[in-house]
Amino acid sequence: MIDISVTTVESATLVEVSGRVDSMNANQLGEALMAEIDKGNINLVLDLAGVEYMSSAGLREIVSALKKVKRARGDVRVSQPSDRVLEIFEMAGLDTILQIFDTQVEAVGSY
Amino acid sequence: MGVKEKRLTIPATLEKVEEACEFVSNFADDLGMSDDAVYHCYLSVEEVCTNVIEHGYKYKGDDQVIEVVCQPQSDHLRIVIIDDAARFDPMVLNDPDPSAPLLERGDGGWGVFFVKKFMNSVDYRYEKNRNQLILKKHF
Repeated sequence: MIDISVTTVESATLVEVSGRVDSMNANQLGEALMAEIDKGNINLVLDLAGVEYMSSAGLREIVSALKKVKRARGDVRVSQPSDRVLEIFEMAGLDTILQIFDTQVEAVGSY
Repeated sequence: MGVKEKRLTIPATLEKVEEACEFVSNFADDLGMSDDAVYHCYLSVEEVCTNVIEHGYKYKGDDQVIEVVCQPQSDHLRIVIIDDAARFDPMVLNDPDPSAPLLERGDGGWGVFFVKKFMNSVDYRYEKNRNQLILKKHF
């Protein structure tokens, strides 16, 4: 089960996720990100402080959204991933593609 | 050791994958495996079952099953995941490239890769018209 909240802060759109992102619910994350992108909100901060678990299904949604915003010259920047989520990013080489921040403030302020 | 083999059969639907993950991770936990090892087992079972449902049964597995067997061995947990979809060896897939630029990547394809990284070994067998993926995780 995941909770997703979306708020506009300064020049970015903050997407805060909590729970376990797995094959059962990762599509909810994908739909939330795509809904913002479709509205033209392409400077996204994905705050993962509350995500204790993410499988490849979650990774797939993030990569898909990232590709879409990059084409529009936007970005998906990640804040506060747990060690386990960060490990998943690193294994897939996403840590060199995604900008990852220790705090939400830094991620929002990077835009 | 005192812990015997256990098996669970679930309908081949995404809604039931968590049940298989919990079954295996509880078994691993009861064996005294570390938190990291239990987590690695959980994630691997999710990835394998999801692949079977998506690519094997093509999301039409409501009347099909996935069988999960936990077998404690002297120095590792042996997890066997069995399905009746068309014969397919996921180990023949090329690993995705973590150094690939973003726009040259597929969106997904990381599941089997993670399983290979998190398990000590992964082997495929086809026996009695059933796919069997055998995962081993050391204590």
